[in-house]
Amino acid sequence: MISITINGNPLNIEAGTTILEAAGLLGIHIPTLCYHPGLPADGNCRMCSVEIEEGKKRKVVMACSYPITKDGLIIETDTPKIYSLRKFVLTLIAKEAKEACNTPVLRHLFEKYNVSVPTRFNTSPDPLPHTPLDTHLAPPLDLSPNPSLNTPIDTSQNATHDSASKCILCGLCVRACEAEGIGCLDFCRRGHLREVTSPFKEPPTSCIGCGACAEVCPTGAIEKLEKDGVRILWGREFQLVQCTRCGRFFATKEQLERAALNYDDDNDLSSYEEICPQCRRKEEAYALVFSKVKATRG
Amino acid sequence: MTFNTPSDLREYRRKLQEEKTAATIPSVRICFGTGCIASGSRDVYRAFEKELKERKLNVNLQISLDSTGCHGFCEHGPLVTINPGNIFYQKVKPSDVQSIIDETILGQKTISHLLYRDPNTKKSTTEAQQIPFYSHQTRIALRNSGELNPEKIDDYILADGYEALLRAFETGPEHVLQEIIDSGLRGRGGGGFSTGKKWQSARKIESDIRYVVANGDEGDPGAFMDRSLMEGDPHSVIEGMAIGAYVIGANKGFIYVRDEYPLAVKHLSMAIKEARKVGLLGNNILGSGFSFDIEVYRGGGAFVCGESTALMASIEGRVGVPRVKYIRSTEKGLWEKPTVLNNVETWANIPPIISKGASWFRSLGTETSPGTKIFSLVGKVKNSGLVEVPMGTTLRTIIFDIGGGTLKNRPFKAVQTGGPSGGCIPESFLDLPVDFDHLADVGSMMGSGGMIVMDERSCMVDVARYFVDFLVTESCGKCTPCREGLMEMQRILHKLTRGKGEAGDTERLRAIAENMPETALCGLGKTAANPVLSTLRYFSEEYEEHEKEHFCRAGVCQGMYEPFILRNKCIGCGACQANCSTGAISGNDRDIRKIDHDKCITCGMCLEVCRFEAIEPRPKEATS
Repeated sequence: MISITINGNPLNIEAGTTILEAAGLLGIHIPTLCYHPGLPADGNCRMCSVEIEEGKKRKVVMACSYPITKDGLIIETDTPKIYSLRKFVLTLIAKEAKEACNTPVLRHLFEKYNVSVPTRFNTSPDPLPHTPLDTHLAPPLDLSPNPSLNTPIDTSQNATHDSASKCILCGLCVRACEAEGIGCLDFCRRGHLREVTSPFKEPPTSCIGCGACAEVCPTGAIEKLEKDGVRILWGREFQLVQCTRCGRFFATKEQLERAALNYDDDNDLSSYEEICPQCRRKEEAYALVFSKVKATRG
Repeated sequence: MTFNTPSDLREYRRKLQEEKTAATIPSVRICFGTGCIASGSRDVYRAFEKELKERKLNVNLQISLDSTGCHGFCEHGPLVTINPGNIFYQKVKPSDVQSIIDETILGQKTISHLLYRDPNTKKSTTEAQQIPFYSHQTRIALRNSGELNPEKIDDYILADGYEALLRAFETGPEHVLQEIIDSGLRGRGGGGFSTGKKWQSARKIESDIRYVVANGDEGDPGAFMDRSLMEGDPHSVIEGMAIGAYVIGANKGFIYVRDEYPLAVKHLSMAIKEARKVGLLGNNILGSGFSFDIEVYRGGGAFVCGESTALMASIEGRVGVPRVKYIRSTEKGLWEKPTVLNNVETWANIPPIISKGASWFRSLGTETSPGTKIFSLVGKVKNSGLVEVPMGTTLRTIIFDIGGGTLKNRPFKAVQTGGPSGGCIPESFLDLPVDFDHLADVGSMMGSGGMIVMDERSCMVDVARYFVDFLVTESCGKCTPCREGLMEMQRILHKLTRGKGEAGDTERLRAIAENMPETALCGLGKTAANPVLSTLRYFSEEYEEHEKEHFCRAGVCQGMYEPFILRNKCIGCGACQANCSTGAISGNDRDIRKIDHDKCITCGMCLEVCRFEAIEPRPKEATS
């Protein structure tokens, strides 16, 4: 165990704990966009910056991935410098992912860090020469502190350009898919052209339609449609399976097939019933209670 | 032939030496560095080959003809060295071959027009060492480059090659490690981290497998230090890696070379194959019980793969994208195993340090940065090429004594060091000793050693734009600040260099550039703002002119100036008129020329060709 200080609060933790986890123990909130407790940290969004003091040096590190190994480390999570760095990152995200600006997670952060959302294609009266380079460029960033906190965020205007996207490239979907053992998603191309895609931008054949990618996406950029027993994800249709008890569609066929791979060979699958998690819980609870009742009576 | 014991190797070297001293046959060595090949050294080689064969001189007189690695003096290529006499010929053409054979080789006379002539003193020199370009240099990493044939292991063995490895086996890994720590060698790839400490930390970690990696993914525009080393002296990189592997206990090494360097890949692969054949790589090297092998790994052309963690991801077969580096590669690198990654120049410095000792190495360079550093001197400088100087040499010596000053003797404006991650250093710092710390103090960095000289005719805003353009296409896009921050800087810089600057653009640029280093993930992103920050720091007045007056004083940014002919300087030679693509310049014979600004497209050609400084860029209002 080593002792550290976060925002003046002392704390004892195991060596190797990340700053984000340690701050969580103290109830100190550090904003994140690309972090999920169930997935490995990747340090993509750069929102979770904090300042640490090592001897006389102060430096900025990312809370999600910095492992605390030194005893007596002093961490500050809310200095003016950190505020301006987070604001800087948010301003860039606001510029990049126009359509994501209205999602609750970003809207909340924009308000907290006082970021005004630029509207696309309507600022410059004199448009730049139409070279290929300029077509995807957005209006200037406003990095100056803005006193009017309550300016409404409106991105509906002129936001229909095809490059405007909801994706902020946090990579949670990619990591979730990998954690599921599927790995049918990854980034392609580089720099500002980087995007998340399935292999060759075709409906992924190895996808099992579990929807973990859509589940972890902070901005709802991944569309998951369900209708009439069919789930549409990444351009592919998945047949949904009905619960034999309640009749609810609860998983895709591929998902159950993959789950079956985890059973031992000697398991008899012939009597295996396709029951949704809720019904399964209900049944198990019933069995548990019933067996207890039986035991006390017997 | 296979060497099983140290004495096998030494015996073989002794035999080679005897053969060499016994024969006093004339030899012709032609530089096969990339620069010289580009200027036609292959044709010269073929002409020699043909001529010697026809006259049967290769049989009768046994004249030897050989290709070597880069000499560094690329501006004056193709370079040919002739022995005996060590005569150094430059700018040799295939048509000169006959007279070289007749007069120099057979007649023992020098040919004056092929000798290097000092442009200032007008004196010719026969030997390379007398040329200022070479006399100010101290060659350690480049010691063999240009001296030997990189395709022959015998040449390297003859030049005391693999002797340092033997010495390492004799003294043991602890002693070698101590020697490297004492030498104070710092990583030549840019970071300047102590090589000895790096090795030490990898050695300390408990692990069954360890790796050594040579970083040859040199991607900086205008840099070719690593390229020439790998092409010209691959064995010294291999020997350095073998010593490093011996110290940390690695049995496997990788050399990561960008595929744009086909000759480097070829020479490295050949060298590794030969070393394996003679038992200098492989199992139980020279009976020491130490086994080591190297694999060449070709990079696919991403600049970011020069960043250590991205490079390792690439070797592992994943996308070359950096990872968070709070745990060092020396603890968890390639496949989560302790890995020592050094630049190829660092590796090439290892054998001399082991052979000659740490105190010798410390005697060169400065207190905090011992040794020498290779720079590729390019841009608007007379002697473009590869130079190796002791650390602490001033910029003035490098640019004016070795480089021969700026092209056309125009006033010097700045020098860009460290590639896209470095910065521009203005004239006021010309007497700055060049080492890791001093360069960092003035807002630039050593980088891998690129040095781009700029004169009056270089627009600093345009320079920043050039590097930001480069980085925008090379950013991997993983983290937000680098991906989007660079795009935003590019947008502003493009506005400024097109005369579309608006009030506040410079400040917006500064705000982005100042925030990027703290928030970006990897070395590329953290330093990506340096070109902008350093030009803003030293040349803010140019930014101001671009933003407010839409004027480019260097005459580079199109449409942002008007060329103006100075009546007192124009001699009426008509060079500008002849080169004007739109016919905007008029005048007869020896008259002072006139420019029609309606026809002028400000391409800048007249500014470039005028040898009398008679054309000047001026703001648009001033001339109309």
